[in-house]
Amino acid sequence: MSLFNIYQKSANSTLHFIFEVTIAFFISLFIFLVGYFFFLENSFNNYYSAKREQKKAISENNQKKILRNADDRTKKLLSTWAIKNTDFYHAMQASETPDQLLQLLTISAQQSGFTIIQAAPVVSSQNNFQVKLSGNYTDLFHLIDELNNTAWPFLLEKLSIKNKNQYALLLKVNNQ
Amino acid sequence: MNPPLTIDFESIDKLPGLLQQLKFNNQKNPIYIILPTEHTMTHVFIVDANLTDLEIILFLKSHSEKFFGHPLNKLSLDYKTESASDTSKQRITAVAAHVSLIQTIQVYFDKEKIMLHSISIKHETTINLLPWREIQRKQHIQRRNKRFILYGLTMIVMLFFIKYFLINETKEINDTTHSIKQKNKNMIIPNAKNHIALLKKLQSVDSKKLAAVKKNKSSLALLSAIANNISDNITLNSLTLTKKEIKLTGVSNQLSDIHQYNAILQKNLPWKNSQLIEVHNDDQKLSLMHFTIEATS
Repeated sequence: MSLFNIYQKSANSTLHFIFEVTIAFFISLFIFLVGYFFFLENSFNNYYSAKREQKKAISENNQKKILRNADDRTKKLLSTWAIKNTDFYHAMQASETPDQLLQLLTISAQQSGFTIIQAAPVVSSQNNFQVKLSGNYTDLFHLIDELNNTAWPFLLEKLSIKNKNQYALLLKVNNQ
Repeated sequence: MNPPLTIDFESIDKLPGLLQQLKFNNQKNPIYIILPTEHTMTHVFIVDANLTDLEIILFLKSHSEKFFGHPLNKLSLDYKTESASDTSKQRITAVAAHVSLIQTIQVYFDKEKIMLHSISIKHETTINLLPWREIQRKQHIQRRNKRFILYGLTMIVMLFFIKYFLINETKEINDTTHSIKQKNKNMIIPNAKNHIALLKKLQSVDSKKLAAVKKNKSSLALLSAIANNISDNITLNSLTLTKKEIKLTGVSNQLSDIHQYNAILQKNLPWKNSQLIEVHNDDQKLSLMHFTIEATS
């Protein structure tokens, strides 16, 4: 019976083993490649596409969280402004127009004792106002004080007194 | 188990009858055929000890006509090895029989569906003239092919597993993504941009307001200084105030008062470089003097 084992124990068994492993490797490689391109490619694409989509959603979520936290901080600061400078806060919150600013300016001038000869925004710059007033020299001080007390940054750019009790003022509101 | 049975027979023609008898007796033991020596040929030769089984059989097949006088296709061959006196050599005893005889025996056994274990010769029971080497090689190849098929099947199963895993994972990821997207959709931050814009506006306008108030106060200080230091003999006709310059024109009947007023302005104005730039007499009333004072920041 041992005769039957001679062939199996031949010196070529190592070569047979290497041959078999090589063939097995190529079979595996072939099946894997064919399987990948005809069977798995779509699944891989879907998987990576889903991953990308998830990453995008997570990123968006993080950004929204950051934005929400930032908004919370902003709202807290705004409420501090609202408590400490209520008038200023409300004035800034309301959207002002040059007409409204001009109205504020004329009212302040009248309250200071001036008579308004002419008041209009400068054509080239809607936030600059040319005002011609009639009144006393001391009324100028009242007007500037009055404007300093408003929420808006009225700046006296130019003052011209050519005739007695007549004042030409160029006022700029730098609110941008 | 039945005891081993030995049957001698003279002619091969008697074999079918004997086989029928064995089948009738329900013999289960392995069956060996021993050929009489006149039906076999023997040849002894010495070869290199390193030769493998395959190499020996190839050698034997290529020399069949020389050793046994018949071509290979007419013979069934087998051999046994023995160590020679020289350790680098081996002694080969090759045995051959006509293939037609061997095939006839095989056909009889196949017909009766009885398994034949070996066909050997007297005193050489390790010899087997059946084509066992070819069968063994065929079986080996079959086993190897089966293993290859197994590898292939394993790979295919793995591919299915990978596909299942990917589909499952993709579904899970999609579910998670959907839930995150839903959260994102519900996470509404109203007016965030407006809040930031308002805060920036508050901060910006506040700083501008402070600067404007400071500059306006500075202008008021200038106007105050101009008005408060004027003497009774001086009348101001015009005043122009800009961010960088003040220009005053006036009239007086005393030159000294004009100089004094200029000196006071030089001293008291926040802008120190005040200058009397022009003085002239009135064309009609010579006692009056017109003057111009300029100050720059």
